[in-house]
Order: sequence, then structure tokens, then C-alpha cells
Amino acid sequence: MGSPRGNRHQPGCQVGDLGPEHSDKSAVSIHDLTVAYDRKPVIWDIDVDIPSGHLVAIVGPNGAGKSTLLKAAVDLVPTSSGQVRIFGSPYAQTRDSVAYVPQRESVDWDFPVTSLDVACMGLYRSIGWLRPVNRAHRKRGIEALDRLGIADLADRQISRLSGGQQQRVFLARALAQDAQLYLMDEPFAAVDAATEEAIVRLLQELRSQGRTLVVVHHDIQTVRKYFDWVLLLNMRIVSSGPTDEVFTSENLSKTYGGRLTLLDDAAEAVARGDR
Amino acid sequence: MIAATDTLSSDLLELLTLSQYNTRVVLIAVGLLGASAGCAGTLLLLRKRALLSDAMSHATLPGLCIGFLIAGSLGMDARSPWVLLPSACMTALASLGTYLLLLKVPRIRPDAALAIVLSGWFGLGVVLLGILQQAPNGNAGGLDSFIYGKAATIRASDTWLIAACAVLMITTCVLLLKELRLICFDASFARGSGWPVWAIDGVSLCMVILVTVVGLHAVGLILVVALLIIPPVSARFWTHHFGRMMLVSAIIGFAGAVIGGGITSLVSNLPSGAVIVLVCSAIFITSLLFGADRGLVKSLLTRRRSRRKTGIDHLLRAMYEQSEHNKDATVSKEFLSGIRTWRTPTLESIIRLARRRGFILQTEDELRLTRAGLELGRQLTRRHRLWELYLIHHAMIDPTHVDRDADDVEHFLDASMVRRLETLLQPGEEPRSPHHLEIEDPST
Repeated sequence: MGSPRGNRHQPGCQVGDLGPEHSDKSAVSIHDLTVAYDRKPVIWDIDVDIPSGHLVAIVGPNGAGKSTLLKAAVDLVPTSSGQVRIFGSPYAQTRDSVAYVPQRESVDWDFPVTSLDVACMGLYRSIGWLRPVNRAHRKRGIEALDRLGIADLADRQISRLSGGQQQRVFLARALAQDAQLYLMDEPFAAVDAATEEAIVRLLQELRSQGRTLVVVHHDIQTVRKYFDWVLLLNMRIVSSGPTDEVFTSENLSKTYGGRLTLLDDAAEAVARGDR
Repeated sequence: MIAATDTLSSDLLELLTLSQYNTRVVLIAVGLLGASAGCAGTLLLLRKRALLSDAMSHATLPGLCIGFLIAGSLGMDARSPWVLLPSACMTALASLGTYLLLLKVPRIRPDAALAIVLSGWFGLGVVLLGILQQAPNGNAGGLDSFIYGKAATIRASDTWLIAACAVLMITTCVLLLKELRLICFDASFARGSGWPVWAIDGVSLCMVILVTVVGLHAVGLILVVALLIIPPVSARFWTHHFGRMMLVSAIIGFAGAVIGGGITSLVSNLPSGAVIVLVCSAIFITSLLFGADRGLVKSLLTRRRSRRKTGIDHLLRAMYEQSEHNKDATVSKEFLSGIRTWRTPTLESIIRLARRRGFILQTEDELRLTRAGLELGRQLTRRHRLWELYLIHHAMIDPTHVDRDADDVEHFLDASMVRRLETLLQPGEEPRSPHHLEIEDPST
């Protein structure tokens, strides 16, 4: 694991104003972010700074708001308050340097496209409106598939892929986007060992190129092995920082054991009160 | 009788040569309509909105009635498409708006919202139609042809309108193919990477409304959903490419509409919409049965082939295991049917197949493996036992359970998997197989 560089985020410190001196160091700065579904808050007052060039895990129990945090970062869910800055600017201005990988279950895998079609979708933004996908684009799509070891499956319809292969296709699409920041929602969920290995290798390769990767991760066993930065989340930030410092049993029991029931109840009350 | 046949065949000749101006107009119009419905329907189906189009097409009825009233009060031709169609579009859009509003109410699920929208707007239309038909001087007789469709009422001016819409729609689909594929497959990824999903969605919904409204003459508002949905569902049985699916769907829509329209022009008093939908349904059933991508016949054939292969494999392995005890031994049919629970006809057909492929020789009731059969039997036996050993020693499964599992798996272990099993099971420490038989080394 490479040692963490850049400005260290002290757990609990205030982000304060997001001035320009901030921008070249943090990939994602989240300030005072609260997100609610149907008026029921899911994440509260998130204040966190993710420095660039790290492989970051977001860890927390079910319902902790991990996916919501990623979605809020890419404007997929409306926020109640707060702001997210990516490389110092609002997402609308930096979206071309961000690749978001949704959960595998979020799409219909019986859809009539091939692996290569999906990988090429990562290029659509750079291709632009109305222009068709040409041979050069397909070549880049195959290269992306190849980096995940599935170039031989390029012409296969996506429903005939295994779960792990489908996940790799999703990552190939993100890879084709050639982004600086990757936000991945559970890329390791229900994949085979070979796929997990291929994904980890890719993530570490991307990090060594100076890119930032933020990964929602479920398997506590492998956090230390794979990630150099951790964000512990349970409706609010429990702690965040370099894995060595933050990923302690004390913090973990705060994240998993110490579910704040009052926070749950208050969220319910807010939802009820607004009806 | 002969005269009747003569008229029918001369009618048919007229139809096929398209010599009648009227028939020509009608067939061109419905064909183009079918093709553009096939394109728009593909988007609808893949975006999982099939029923939304049904609600919108039902909501055109109040629009038609209102248009009729407006045209009448302005002193225009009450059946002029230039008034009726825009007002039908308006209420279709209004129904879409109602649906989107209802979705915001927390306790209403999408299917309930659709049912409310469909029946509410259609109910309004039926009431308005009733009022119009009772009005003393307003002859609303033509309006009910919009409900079931009457292709014969299509006029040359309508053809131009339909042709223009079809060209517009097909061009849009071709130009926006990439964008449409993206939002149909993964809208949240599209939104996240900066595509205005609402705008692309809007374009595809506009196409659907356009097809619905210009198709009212030919298929009617109740059945237009079939023309939108049946062609793409059928097309899915032939291809698994988005673009090709749209093309095949357009061709099916075109063919269904032209054939259906042709039949209607031959036989008087048939509602064209229903006939077109029936022809499309026939194409659907054909696709379901014979489709190249996932047709039933093809998958049945695949299943039969794999069942035959499994049968031959089991036969060869049984005979090989017998030859391990006694080289050059022949095996009787009674013995074979005793080993596995084969019924006599099944066994006979497996033996016939194995003989035809040169794996066994038969003399009277005695069977013997050929050289090729012996080799295949040896490989199968080896794979079977390797898998049993793997299950026992690595998956910790009870030895009494592994035989059946290996029966299912032995046919599918390819060379690379066999190699992996060999590495895992280290020939040196190879234990005896559960059937107390050694695994032969492949080199001997």
C-alpha cells in the first residue's frame, strides 16, 4: 500500500470554505450534505474531504447511505442541503472527468446489446451528439474490455455473461471514460474470485496513474488489503482518513454497532411531520 | 360460384399490382405507419413503458371530440386532420402529464396510476362522444371509426401526413440511435455522465404520441398499442442488437400493416385495425416458434441435442467401466438397461445414435466399443471420477452423493477445467475413486 500523500484530513475537522487552494488537492469535497428520500433523511451533515490519488473505501452497514452518498456526488439524487465539489468545481463543470459505476442490478441485463456496445457507452460523451460509433471507438472499447480480461467476450450478448463478467463490462465502460475520479457502487458484490482479482489489479493500476477511486465496499476483511483510505459511514461520517489510522476496531464498532437509534427515529418523525 | 371466385381473383390481382389508386394510397400509408410504429415501439418496450402508450392512445378520444367541436364551430370540415390530430395530441400529452403528477403521490404505484389515467381520460372521451352523437345537427358518425380503425377512410392527404411523420421518425431514430440506446439501457449512467435524459426521453415519447395519433385512422385508438408493442417483441426473437432489433421491428410492423390492410381491402366490412393486429400476432407467434435468437424450436433442438449427447456419454462410460474388468468383453442390452434407469425405447435410440457415430458395434443383442468409443469412454470416465474426487476432497461432499453430481457435470468439463482438476488433485496423492477403481493415467 502506498503511503497517503497530500493534505491529511483530520477526522472531525471542519472543511470551512472551499477556496481555490483546496481544489488541487481534494478530489471530492463534501460540505454539510444532507440527502432525504421522501423527506426522510438518509445521510446527515456529511462533511468530508477525499484527497486525490487515493484508493478509497466507503464502508458501513446496510442502509448507512453509502450508495446515496455516491449518487449525491453525481447529482443523481436531489440534496436537501449542502454542496459537493469535485476537483474544486461543481459537478456540472467537472463531469467529464468523473466516471460513475452504478450497482450491477440497476440495469436490465437482458437488454439487446453486446459487451462491446456497453463498453463503448463510456465513449459516448466524447463522441458527442448524433455521431455514430465508428471503428476507432470500437477499437478503444475492445481495449477497455481487454484490460479487464474479457476482450474475447466482446460480441457476446450481455445476458449470456456471468455475474462477474457483467461487472467487468460495467468497469470497462467506466475505463473507456478515461476519468480522473471513479465512483463505484459495490463493484465487488457477488463476483467470482478471478473477477475480484482483475478488478483490484485495475483499481491499483489506476491509482498509480494518479487517479482517485472511491469504492463502496462491503467486505470488511479486505479493506486493509485493498484500500489506503477509508470513509466510515453510518448515516453520518463516523471517521475518515488513511486506512492505518482510521480503520480501527473502535471506529468499526462505532460504525456497525453504534447505530444511532435516535437518528433513525428523528428521520421517521421528520417524514411523518411533513405529510 | 365460379363468378365469385373470378371476382376474388381479379380483386387479388388488382391488389397485388396496386393498380387501384385508393388501395395504393391506403397500403402505402399503413405500411409507413407500421414501420414507424415498429421503431417507436422498440424504444417504448426497452424503456419498459409498453402500457404508458396504451393510456396515451385511449386519452386521444376526448381530444378527437374536442377537435370535432372546435372544427364544427369554426365552420371547417369537421373531419379535417389538421384540427383533429393536434387536439388528440394535446389530450395524449395531458394524460402523460397526469401520469407524471400521480407518480409524485407517495401512495400510488405506477400500475395503479396508469389504470387511473387510462380509464379516466377514456371515460371522458366516451361521454363527450355520446353528447356529440346526440347533438341535433352535429353528424359525429365518423368519429367512432377512430376507435377501431377503418383504413378505407384514409385519403391521399392523410398519406402525405403519415409519410412525413414516418420519414421524420425514422430519421430521428437513425440519428439518435446511440443516445436512445444509452438511455434505454442505463438512464442513471446517462444522466450521471451529462446527457439530458429528459430531452431524449421526450423525443421518444413524442414519437410514440405521433404514431398513435396518425395511426388512429388505420388501427384505431384501442389497438394501436399492439402495433407499437408486438413488432419489437417479435423482433427480439431474431436479434440481440439494439439497432438491428429496431430495423427488424420496423420491417415486421410494415409487413403486418400492409398484409392486414390488403386483407381488409379484399373483404368488405372488416375492421382494418383488428386485422392488422391479427397479422402482427401471427408474425409474433412465428417469431416465438422459429426465431433465430431465442425461438422455442431452436431451444428445443438445442435441448434435444444435449440430451442425446448426455445419453451417448452415459452409454459409453457404462461400457468402458465394464471393459475395465474384462478387456474385449461385449455388453448385453439387458445389462445396460439394468445399470441406468433407461426405458427400452430410450436405450434403443441411444444405441442407434452411438452406432451411427461409430462409437459401438452391434452383433445381435451384444454391444462392443469401437476404438473411438473406447477412447471417448475413457476420457468420460476419467472426467467423471476427477469430478467425484474433487467434490469429496475439496467441496467436502459426502461420497454417497457425488455420483449423480458427476453424471451431470462430466459432459461439460473442457480441457482447461480437466487440467485444473488434475493440478488440484495431484496424481501422487490420488486416492481411490469411490467406485474402487483407479483413474487411468492418460499416457498409458
